[in-house]
Amino acid sequence: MNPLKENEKELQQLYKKLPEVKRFLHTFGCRSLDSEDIFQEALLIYTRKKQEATFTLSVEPIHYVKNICKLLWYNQARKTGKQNSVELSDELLVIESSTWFQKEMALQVVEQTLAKLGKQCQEILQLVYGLGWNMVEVAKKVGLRNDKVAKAQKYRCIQKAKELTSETTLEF
Amino acid sequence: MEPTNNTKRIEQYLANELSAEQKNAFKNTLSQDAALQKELAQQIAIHEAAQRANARVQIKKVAKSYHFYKNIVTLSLIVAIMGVAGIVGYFLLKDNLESSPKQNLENSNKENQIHPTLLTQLASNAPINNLQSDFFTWNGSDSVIISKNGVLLSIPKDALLLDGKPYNEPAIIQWQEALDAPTIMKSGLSTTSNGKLLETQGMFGLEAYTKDGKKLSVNPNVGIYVQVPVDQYKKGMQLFKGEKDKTGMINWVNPTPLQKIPVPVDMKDLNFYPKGYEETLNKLKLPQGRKYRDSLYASLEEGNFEEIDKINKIEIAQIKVNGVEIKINPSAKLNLDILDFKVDVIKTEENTLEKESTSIFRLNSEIIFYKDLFSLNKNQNQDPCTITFNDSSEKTKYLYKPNILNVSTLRGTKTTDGTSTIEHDFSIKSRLKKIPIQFNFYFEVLTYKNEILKYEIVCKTTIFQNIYKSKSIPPSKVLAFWNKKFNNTNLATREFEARMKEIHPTCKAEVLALYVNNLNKNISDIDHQVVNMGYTTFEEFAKEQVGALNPNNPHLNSLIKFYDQTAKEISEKTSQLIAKQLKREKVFDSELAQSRMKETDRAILRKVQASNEEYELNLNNVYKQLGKEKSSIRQITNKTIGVTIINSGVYNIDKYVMDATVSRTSTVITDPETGKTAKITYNDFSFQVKDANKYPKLFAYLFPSKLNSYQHISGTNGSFTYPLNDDIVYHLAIVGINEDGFFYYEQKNIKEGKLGEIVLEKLTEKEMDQRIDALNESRGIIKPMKIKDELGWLVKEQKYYVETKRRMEQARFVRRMKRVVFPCYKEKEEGSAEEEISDNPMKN
Repeated sequence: MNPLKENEKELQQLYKKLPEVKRFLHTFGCRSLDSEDIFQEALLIYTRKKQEATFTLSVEPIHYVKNICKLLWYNQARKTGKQNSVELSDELLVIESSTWFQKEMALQVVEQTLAKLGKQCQEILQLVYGLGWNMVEVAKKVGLRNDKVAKAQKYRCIQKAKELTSETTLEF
Repeated sequence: MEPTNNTKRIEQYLANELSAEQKNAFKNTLSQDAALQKELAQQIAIHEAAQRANARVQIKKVAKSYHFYKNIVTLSLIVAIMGVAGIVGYFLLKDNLESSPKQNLENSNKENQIHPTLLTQLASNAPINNLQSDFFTWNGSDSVIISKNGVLLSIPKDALLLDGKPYNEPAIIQWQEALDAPTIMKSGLSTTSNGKLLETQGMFGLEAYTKDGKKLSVNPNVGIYVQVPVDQYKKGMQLFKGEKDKTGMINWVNPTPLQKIPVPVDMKDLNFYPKGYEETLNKLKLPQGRKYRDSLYASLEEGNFEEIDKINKIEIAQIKVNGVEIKINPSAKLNLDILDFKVDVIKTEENTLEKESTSIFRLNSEIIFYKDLFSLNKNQNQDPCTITFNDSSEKTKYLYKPNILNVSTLRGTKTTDGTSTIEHDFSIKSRLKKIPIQFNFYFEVLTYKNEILKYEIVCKTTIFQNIYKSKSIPPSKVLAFWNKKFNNTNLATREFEARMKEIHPTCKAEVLALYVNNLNKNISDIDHQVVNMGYTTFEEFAKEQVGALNPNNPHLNSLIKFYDQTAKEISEKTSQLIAKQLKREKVFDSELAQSRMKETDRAILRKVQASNEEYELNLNNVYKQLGKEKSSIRQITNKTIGVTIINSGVYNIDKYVMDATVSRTSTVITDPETGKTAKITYNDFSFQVKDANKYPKLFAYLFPSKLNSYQHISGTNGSFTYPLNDDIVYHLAIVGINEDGFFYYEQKNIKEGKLGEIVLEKLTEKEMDQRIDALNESRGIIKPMKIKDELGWLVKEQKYYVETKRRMEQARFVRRMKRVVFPCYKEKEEGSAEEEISDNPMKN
């Protein structure tokens, strides 16, 4: 099966556990509204992590996702200064302090910044870097004259994104 | 806003659009420009964030459909019930392949309410006349059906079309199969294609209908996968479409090549070991676990040595002795079979090595052999390796390999110009063209206090040549993909498992590499490549026309990287383990060498003391018999023997006594002055040890009643003869050593005689210690010579036999396993030269 499809299928399966995850996060004092966002972020991290060749899962995917949820909620609660009833296991502390996790957190901020770009810019960047399309395909998809124009536009988008993100700390 | 040049450049750099020149220029600028580095990091982050954004879109989509389907849950439940019925049907089929599928259909009829008359109607309109139709229900989602003859049908979702649109409702599948000649003939099927005769491996017909009897067509974009069991794979089999002509005869047209999609199997259920590996381990009753078997398999990997043609490493450490720098000039020459090695140690300044004249320096060299050297000795009549020392004209043959060999100790000689030179020149000539050897040189200075100051290794020359690397599939390359990471690739299939069994005998790692590095290709394409490499056994595989599993998996590239890295890691880890083992053996060998060196020193001391003491005893005796006062004539101490000579007569007596003592023969001495005679008597004494050949080391100790020292005597093939001094009563202890432990016999108060055959009894190390110690102490003398060091040495020697046995058994096991695991491993006869033990590789 197409891996994109396969991934979608797995995500569908995992998403069915939303109520369970909500109950789980609720025990740590996370509101239902926040918990779905956290769940989505955890699924995102899981999807990205899975693509790493060296990544191995020692538990069921849903347990991994739940652990990441817990970690994300811990992080969020700490940032917003909420009362924190979460205690992290050693295993989670290791993840919390790992470079990749810190990097994901930093990338989350950059990603939020990218949302401030124009629709076309967002689409171009996602097609190029998210799906690995070439500029000819991209030009066709977003309705630009040819690949050269699309490339020039991509440069502009990157420039804009750089200006928007220059405030963000990028050292990891 | 317009993008800056930096932005463009970085993008081009990241997209790998720069020429090599531009790339280097960019890297140069980058290394000096912190701001540019920051921009680069920023752009990389933007790329990754865009990836995240894209992934989030997918997740949001999933979220949307989740919330959507939650609302129509009632509807999906109805579909689910039908789905369950379908699945049950499938399992029933699977469990009772013999039972007619019709039975199953009747069961599902109740659910789906298909009218029996519809079935009869469909059967009469079957694609192939005169051939029985079987009916299956398809539940509308991905499912697999197996027919009564074992044909596998896989009908995925969207595989059927109703009026050109995917139809995913329950459907009726009509199936006809004619796989054997009688069935084909009975049904009047032709095997001709446009008049040409075809060979067939089965014909089948398939139709699909809605439960109301509307005909469905197969979606050409999805397709139905059909796998037909055949007795053997025939080359060039193709799929033909049947067309009925006016008379109802079928003409077969539109041939397309068959392709079999490999079935994914979990890696943990597959077996990639070479043929016979597990069988041999089972026969030897060795542990079953994968972990153990994998690590054993990995440890058999050959070629842990770098392949080189010349000496690859000479490390020269500058050392200083008392502030003076010592220069070491190692030079080495190597040609194919003779290795010449020469080391000059040159002292740069006059007499500055040590101020004291007693200090000398010496160079100790060690040769470390690596295991396989001797296991490669194929022809037992030839020496595997001869080492010639040009320094000492010593020629040594080694049949049993010590890991470490103290070659020689060379002392520096001073020349008139004030430099000291050690020339160390020896050659190793080996029948085997390539040998893995490491030389270590240690520089030592002996000070006037007789302390040995040992300096660091001054020159470590590693001559690792790849000893005979037999062609093989390296275990690390197999274990690296035998990993769940490779699930759902070509490698995690029964098809590849079968090929792997045949890849091992090719002994060619390139064959394996083809399969591993081309996961996106059809397995059959690689089969053909392998056939072209000359491996005709793969022709059978090539005929199977096996396709590829998940060729579009985007992770294939990273998997290959992961594979290479893992194979390297496994191989390195194994090398480390082997090195650790070698190190342990090296420590053992060097301790043994030390212990033996000390034993040699002790033996000399003991011999000197024993003969001095016995000589004194005999001398006293003789003087007494001759009626002379000895004490007034000579000072008796060890140091002054033969020094104080009063007159010639006494000197003569001393000389006779000395001769008698040394040769241990009875002598009558006559005093020329008085005519009196004196007798020194040595009595015959002998014994034989039963089964002496059981003990690689066998000797006896004699503890004399009147002397402080003791004697260590060796026999020949278990026969011992040693004349005993009539004036002394002896205690005897016999010690035999082999890999099983210590064997012992003792007898007290012996004067003479034939003891006959003696049987040794087995003792523990502690018991033997105690008994010898007690025997030594019970002689009734004041200061018996200490025996503790001697006992320590005995223990070490015994361990040597245990160690030797262990090493030989291990070597034998490794060879046996290598023969199993590497079919091209050069065979060697059992019981050849290498398996004999030279009792003592370092001269005792």
